[in-house]
Amino acid sequence: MTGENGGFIEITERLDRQRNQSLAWFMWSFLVWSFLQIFVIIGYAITGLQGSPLLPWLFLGGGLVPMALWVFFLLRYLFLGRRIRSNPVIAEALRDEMVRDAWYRAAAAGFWSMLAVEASFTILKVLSTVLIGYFLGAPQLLMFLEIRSPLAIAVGLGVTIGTYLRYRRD
Amino acid sequence: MGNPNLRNNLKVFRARHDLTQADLAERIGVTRKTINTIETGRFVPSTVLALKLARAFEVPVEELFELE
Repeated sequence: MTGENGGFIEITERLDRQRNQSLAWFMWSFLVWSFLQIFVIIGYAITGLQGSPLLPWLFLGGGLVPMALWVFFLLRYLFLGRRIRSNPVIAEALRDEMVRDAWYRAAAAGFWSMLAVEASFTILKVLSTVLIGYFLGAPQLLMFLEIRSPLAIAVGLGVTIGTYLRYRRD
Repeated sequence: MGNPNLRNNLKVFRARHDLTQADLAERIGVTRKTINTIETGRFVPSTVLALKLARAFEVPVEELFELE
């Protein structure tokens, strides 16, 4: 099982490392991008509906780089997957039971973390009648609730990929 | 993932056969990390993988894995 680019182990190690690096880069750039979006929404909520004139520029300028990075590393991860699948022996090794087990555990951790975020916002929504007027105005609260989906996705994705990479470390 | 009651002698058998983790991984068609995590007790292999490991060393599976 040798090829022009090395033996079986060299190839599997390299592809596994590249795949995990792509996942890590995708996760971090996606988290930066998501939290920037959340930061801008909170910024609008705090400064009022008009917001600061800097906020859209911050969102656009600061968001483009991490977005380009996560799209690039997601595509790299997918292309690596295609390359791995083209060799059944390597594909089998890189999808062994430890890898599958790590993904199952990561998916479970991601599911529970997303559920926790969703539950927190549901509680917040229930309490909103109390919060409005005392702590927050209605527009601010509505904007605050807008972060629900991006936050749930960011936390779920971050926990899933982070858990997978933690289990796959040496 | 791991089981504190399960002990394995994989490292001993590997040393006896003068095999690296990479060599053993290639023989049974898994990644080196999988061998590493089994050796350190962080991952308990399935029956199929345990039998493959035992076959690689030509010993019964009970010699590789034992319950404390």
